[in-house]
Amino acid sequence: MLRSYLAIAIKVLLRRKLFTAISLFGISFTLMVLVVAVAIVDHAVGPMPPEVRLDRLLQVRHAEMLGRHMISASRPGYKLIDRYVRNLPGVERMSVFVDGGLIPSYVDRRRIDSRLRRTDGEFWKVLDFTFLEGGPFSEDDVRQARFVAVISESTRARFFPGAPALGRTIELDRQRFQVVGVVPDVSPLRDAIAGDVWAPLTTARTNAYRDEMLGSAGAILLARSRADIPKMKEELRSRVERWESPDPRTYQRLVTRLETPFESLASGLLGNDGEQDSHVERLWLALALTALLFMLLPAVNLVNLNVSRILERASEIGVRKAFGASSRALVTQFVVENILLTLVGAAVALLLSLLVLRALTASDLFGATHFALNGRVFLFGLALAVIFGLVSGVYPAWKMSRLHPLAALHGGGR
Amino acid sequence: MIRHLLALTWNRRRANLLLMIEIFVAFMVLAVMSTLGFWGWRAYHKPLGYSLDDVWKVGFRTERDRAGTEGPDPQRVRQVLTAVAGLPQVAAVAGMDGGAPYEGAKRESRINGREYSYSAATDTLPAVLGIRLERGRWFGREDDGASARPVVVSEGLARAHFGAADPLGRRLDEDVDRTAGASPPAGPARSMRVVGVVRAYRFDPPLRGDYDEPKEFLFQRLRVDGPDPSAPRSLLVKLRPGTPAAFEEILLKAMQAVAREWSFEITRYDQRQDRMVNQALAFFAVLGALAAFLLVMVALGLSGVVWQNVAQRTSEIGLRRAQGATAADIRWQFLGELMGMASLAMVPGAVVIAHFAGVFAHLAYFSIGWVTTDVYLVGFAFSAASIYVLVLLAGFFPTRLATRIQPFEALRYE
Repeated sequence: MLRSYLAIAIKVLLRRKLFTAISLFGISFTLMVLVVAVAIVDHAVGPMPPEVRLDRLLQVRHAEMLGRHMISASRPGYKLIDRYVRNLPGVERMSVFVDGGLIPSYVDRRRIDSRLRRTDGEFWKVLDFTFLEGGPFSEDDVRQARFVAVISESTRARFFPGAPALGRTIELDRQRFQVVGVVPDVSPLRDAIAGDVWAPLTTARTNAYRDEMLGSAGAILLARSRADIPKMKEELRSRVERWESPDPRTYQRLVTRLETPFESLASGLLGNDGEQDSHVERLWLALALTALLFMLLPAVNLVNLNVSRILERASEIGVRKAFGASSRALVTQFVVENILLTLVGAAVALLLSLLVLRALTASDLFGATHFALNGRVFLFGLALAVIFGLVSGVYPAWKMSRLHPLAALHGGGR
Repeated sequence: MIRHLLALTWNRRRANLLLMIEIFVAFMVLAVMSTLGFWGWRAYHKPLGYSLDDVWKVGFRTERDRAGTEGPDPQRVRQVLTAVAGLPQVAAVAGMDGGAPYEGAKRESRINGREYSYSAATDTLPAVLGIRLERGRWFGREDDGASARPVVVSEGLARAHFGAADPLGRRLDEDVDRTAGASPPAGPARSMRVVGVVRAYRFDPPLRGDYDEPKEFLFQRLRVDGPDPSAPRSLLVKLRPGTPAAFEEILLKAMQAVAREWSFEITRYDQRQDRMVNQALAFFAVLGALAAFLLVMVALGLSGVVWQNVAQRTSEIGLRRAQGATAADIRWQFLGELMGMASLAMVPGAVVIAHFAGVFAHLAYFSIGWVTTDVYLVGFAFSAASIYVLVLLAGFFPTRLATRIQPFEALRYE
């Protein structure tokens, strides 16, 4: 049955090439835009190196001190993490880092800005980096405050164009670090782990960061299993509730939370105001609504084209009806036809989005990103195409199936 | 004739409903995009009120800085300021606490319940940024020992509190119960005296953040010396024209010589401006490309539908030709019907947009303030004109077919 539908569909699509081309143009462009958007979101929050075990990764990136008249919100400080986040139940590994900001270096009268992260030895075990050169620094390096650093691929290219970096030194903010490892670039869209240079925590110029409740630190945690995550969140919440304010007149409460990268993105976009709990559902809803709204105009356009083509096929419908085809069979046939068309459009869209993503990567608009298509994005694109096919195909099909056989055979029917 | 066309359109409203929905949606999309576009164009061309030529910003982090609300040590900052001002390449240097260009960190407070943004700046700020005063003067040495804090206000703030009266010398009292913003300015005096008026101050130059200048803005005097000193969070350095970029390193060394353990971050505004403008332009370019694609798609879709429509109304056309209508008459009938349809579809579109403007602005993550009536009107007018052009273009080729229909050929169908 399906095979004959498909055969008819192909014949029909080839018969009116101009119409098919117009429809395909709309479909493929619409899907291309959506696929590119999905690829960018995936690049920011999908599981890919070094965040391979994304389903068990959690982060602490936001903290607030609340008072009756004052709210201070920022990144958590090292002290907060050290005191409240360490030794949560169900944690396999945990790493703390302190954001050192964008640090200028001057090499041959050129200025190089590097995003410096100071962290511990665990960092390299929580995340799965593949090293291009050398390896990570160890817990011992951190204890001994050795001036060693792991740098990213593009940082290596900036400091040592075309040459290996292992064993050489770079100077950041008057501190000289010996390069012990080189890793591939981490997308700047992954704010929690992004960086250009990673150095041991203990190389900080002063120990002031150790006393900060709010500051520029963060933690990434690897849970033992997904099932442990709610328990961990709950434990952190109750620990923080017992916070004793150093300045009870100004601040009475401390709020922080353990989040997956996607939860973190959601609360970042939709406001950090929420005491607890995630904005994930709201973000999904907002994304789905945006996608649907964007599809609306192309869908109405396709519906119009489809409806105007019904009349052309009136006699075919009349004959089929006269021979006893049910409305349902007709609706199925036309919807299948439309989905076939959108799938062809999707194939074109994937090709187009490959080109666009390549251009985006080259444009440096988001920094050192490497956008790409992968299985997840492909499946998303496929799902979008089917949804689009259904949305734009059901109404015309229904209208088609309701043509009166007599009128249809006569060739009219408005 | 027009009434006749409208009647025709109205009578075929059911048949044309889908087409009208398409135009309705297209109009809304276009109106939102062109409103945004026009607004962006205007914001881009708005005068800044000051100049960032040869101005660099220096941000610094100190050991005390990150611990909490306590700022850097004013005395050390004064030493840094003196050291920078002593360099031969430096024309002037000023300190600011909040509200430096591009910083985005505005402070807010209230006077008589009205919210305003403010910034604290040293006496030298006009020399660095070239701020022109509309009335009065900038604060300076002559204000030493005054009981009320000298302030320079924007015209918007002056109008809000004093109406058309002369604001110079008038007192302003900051509300004691503050809920927004950071810690209160140093010193017990909450009472302020107006010494000067500037037109406005846009600290978020073009196309970024709040996009429009805060209407009610106020500069407080920041003193790094005297009985009750406070410290700026960033320094603005005006260089003598022609100073090379390599001066950055010299400047850094000079500051580090005074404050060894501080970290400094130098931002060159020209580069910053280029990058931000490029990002904003990329946003508008994407917006424009999407709008163009949607319009092309709608145009193609419409012409497909009109073409089908013409083919279907052959007999009607034949009849009219037989009764003596010219080819041009027929053509204008079709085009007129299209225009009528477009007009009918745009009325609800305009109503919906005017009604839900706030929601649209919110969806696009903009504050609502920028959508002023004239921006709307231009956006609407542009969209309406584009839709008419679009409809005429879409109808051009298909209606040419209609004029080729010969009466005998058409009537044969009946």
